[in-house]
Amino acid sequence: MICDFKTYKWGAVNEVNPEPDDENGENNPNNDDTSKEDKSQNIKELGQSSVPDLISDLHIISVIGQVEGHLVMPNQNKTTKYEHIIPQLVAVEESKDIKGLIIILNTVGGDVEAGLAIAEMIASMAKPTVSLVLGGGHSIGVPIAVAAKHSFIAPTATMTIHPIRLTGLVVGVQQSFDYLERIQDRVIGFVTTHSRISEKKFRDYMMNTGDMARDIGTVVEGKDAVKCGLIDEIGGLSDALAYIHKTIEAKGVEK
Amino acid sequence: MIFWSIVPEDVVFNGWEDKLELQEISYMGKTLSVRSGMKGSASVERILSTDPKDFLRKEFNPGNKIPFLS
Repeated sequence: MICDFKTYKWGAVNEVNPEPDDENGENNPNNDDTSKEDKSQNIKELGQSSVPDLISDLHIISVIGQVEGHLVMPNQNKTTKYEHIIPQLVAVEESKDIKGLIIILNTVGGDVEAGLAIAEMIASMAKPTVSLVLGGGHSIGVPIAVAAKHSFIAPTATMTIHPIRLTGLVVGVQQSFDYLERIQDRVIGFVTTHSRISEKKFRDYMMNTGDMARDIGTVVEGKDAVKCGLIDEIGGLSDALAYIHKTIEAKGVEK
Repeated sequence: MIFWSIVPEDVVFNGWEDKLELQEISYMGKTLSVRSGMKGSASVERILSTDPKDFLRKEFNPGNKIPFLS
């Protein structure tokens, strides 16, 4: 059944308007009519006349639970949906109001290609980006964490590095194993280009047999993640904020 | 899909066969794909838009509850 909520008066409005004023007439003095129309549209749809003031010039994306890709996960999973994150990153990059992006990670892994897509998007952004790993940044959370220009990890946070392997969703034939090997190489390639860890060290962590009870791989703690070069610094929220504000300022001076 | 996670597969994919029913509605001038829930409300599954601005609006965030009058 299709419902039309156009006339529903809703209190909440957007926090950030990524393309401000273009339609509101500031750039175009002949645009007064559109501006009035916009205002009445706002009253009709949002229940108030204007978009509220900007509180922060930073945007935060929290990557929690599973990274959800092409398939919708069953209900019990908390997921981060890549089809929402990717256009959001485009909006952040385009926005005149947003000066920097903070990525907060507490993820258990998920869809490899969705995770890599998010990581590549973050890595290719021109705006200052910083990531903060809290709790856990496991499996596909690792490339997302290193994708930011600078990364922090809480002292108590852990990152699990383990091999990508076949699931019931993939046919178990030789070609699948080869393909999986190539995917794994892509992930390793991404992580090693965007962090200081060497390929050998990362592969050693991945194939380690002594660390996890019923699996191969390594659980890397905050301090060790910095020591091996995977993450740039130990830190918390204030460190991440201080870093991003410093970078934004430096960028402003350059201009 | 290649799945890479520390959570066991059988935990993640438990309930895989359950049918997911999504509806498309028009809300605040935008088309949303929603999952209908209890008491006439629905939660946003995704927004169908090509305007990057829409993806920054919190009322269109996946999981956001919206009143759903059927």
